[in-house]
Amino acid sequence: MDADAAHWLAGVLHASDTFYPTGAYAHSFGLEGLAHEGVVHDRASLRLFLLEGVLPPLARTDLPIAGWAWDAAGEPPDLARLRGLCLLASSMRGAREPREASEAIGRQRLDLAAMLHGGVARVVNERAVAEGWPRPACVAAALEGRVLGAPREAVMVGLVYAAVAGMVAAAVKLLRLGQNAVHTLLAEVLAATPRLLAEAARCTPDDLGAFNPWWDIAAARHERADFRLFIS
Amino acid sequence: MTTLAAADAVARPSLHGHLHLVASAGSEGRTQITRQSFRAPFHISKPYWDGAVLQVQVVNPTAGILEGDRLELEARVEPGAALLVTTPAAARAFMMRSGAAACRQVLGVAAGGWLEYQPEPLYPHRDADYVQATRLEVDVGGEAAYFDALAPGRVGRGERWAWRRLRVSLDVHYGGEPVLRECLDGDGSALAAAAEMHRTPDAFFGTLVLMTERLRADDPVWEAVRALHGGGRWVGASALRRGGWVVRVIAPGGQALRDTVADLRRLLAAALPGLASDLRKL
Repeated sequence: MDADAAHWLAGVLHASDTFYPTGAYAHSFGLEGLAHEGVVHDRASLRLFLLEGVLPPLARTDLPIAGWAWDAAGEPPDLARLRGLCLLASSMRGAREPREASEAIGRQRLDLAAMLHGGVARVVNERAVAEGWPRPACVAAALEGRVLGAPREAVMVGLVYAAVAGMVAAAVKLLRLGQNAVHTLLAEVLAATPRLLAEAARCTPDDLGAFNPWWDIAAARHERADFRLFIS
Repeated sequence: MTTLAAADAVARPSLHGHLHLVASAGSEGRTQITRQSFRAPFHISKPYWDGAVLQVQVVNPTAGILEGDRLELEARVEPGAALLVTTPAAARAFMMRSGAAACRQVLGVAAGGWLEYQPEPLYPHRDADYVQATRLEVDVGGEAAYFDALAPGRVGRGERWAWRRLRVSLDVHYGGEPVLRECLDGDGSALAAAAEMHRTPDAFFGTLVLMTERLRADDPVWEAVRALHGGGRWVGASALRRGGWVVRVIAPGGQALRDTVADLRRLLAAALPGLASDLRKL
């Protein structure tokens, strides 16, 4: 491994750690709503939800957007393109809580990247703050990867891990799951990562978007739930 | 089994049709169609002013959507105009042996305009291959109620989630910015699995996009909308990033979806009077 790779890998590990203060631990990204509806209630139903509900949309939403944002964040960064991608990524979450969760995490992540590493992360962050752009997590991750020197595939792998691990971490608090059950599931789901990256690479702007009305409704109903553990 | 209507329809050549409409404010506060152009399979009823909106019914006199069809619908509502576009019957995308059919819809509303787009559901038949792309563009200060509905298939014949490919995309822009992008794309297997997982095997889907700044998050109407959830029916409402709301419905059948949409229009009509119009079938 050369020194550049060691540098970006250390940076990506740092940003992926639960110790990194993005606030992701406070969100279930709609899972708590589906648990309230009784759809996700044990390891088997969680597995089905992750494999059939969570993974496929990633290849049509966050992953291609992150790849395009990484491309646009070269030297010099294409700020108009990045603004458009921020708005587009935000528009692909119709329910308010998951959208605001992504924006809150992305905002925190980009603020940290600007402070810790400067460069394109700072340039884009300053423009986004000045003009009121949303800063979704997938675009923030792409900018963070760029400033660390990480390849776009590493950014995308990080996003898959964050999406799945965040959901599984929330599930531990919502369901009766042991550590072995959780980590065998996490390993199984993460094995789909190469296939997701290949699908994302084939995605065109016309292909963008997902359709999961059950998830949307559960997330919408979570906004007014009588009790809840998570913000989203 | 192929229906007689479908068998007849399969024999006809593909159609490349369009419908272009512009609705403008006319004298005495009435809306009028100031530009129209259409070509088969599109036909429109005589516009009817009901005192609040101008109702236009878009009729497809053929059996439905067939292989090779290319359809284009554009409707634009000018300032001060109010337009309701409906259809009299479900849209059926028939079996397509090898090719596909496509429909592009562009709906626009200027500031001070009102558009309700309220078609009957889309029924994709076995081996249908259909692409529908819809773009709704609302200027700041314009208002719209866009509805679309999807059936799982011909449930009465035991045919569910049997289409070969369906791509239905929706882009909503407000003030020139994207606020909603969604896309259903694939054969029916993924939705079939999801419907089973959520214990809604005959799910009929409805999406209502309400573009208006009149409704606040604390408006009591949202509690009434959320109360429609239950008894096999899923209903949720959430605010878009700006300019409006999206209301999702999953109903256990076509009639249940129709009833839910009627409930939604009745509840929301207090804030949005255009929704009080009777969806009369001419």
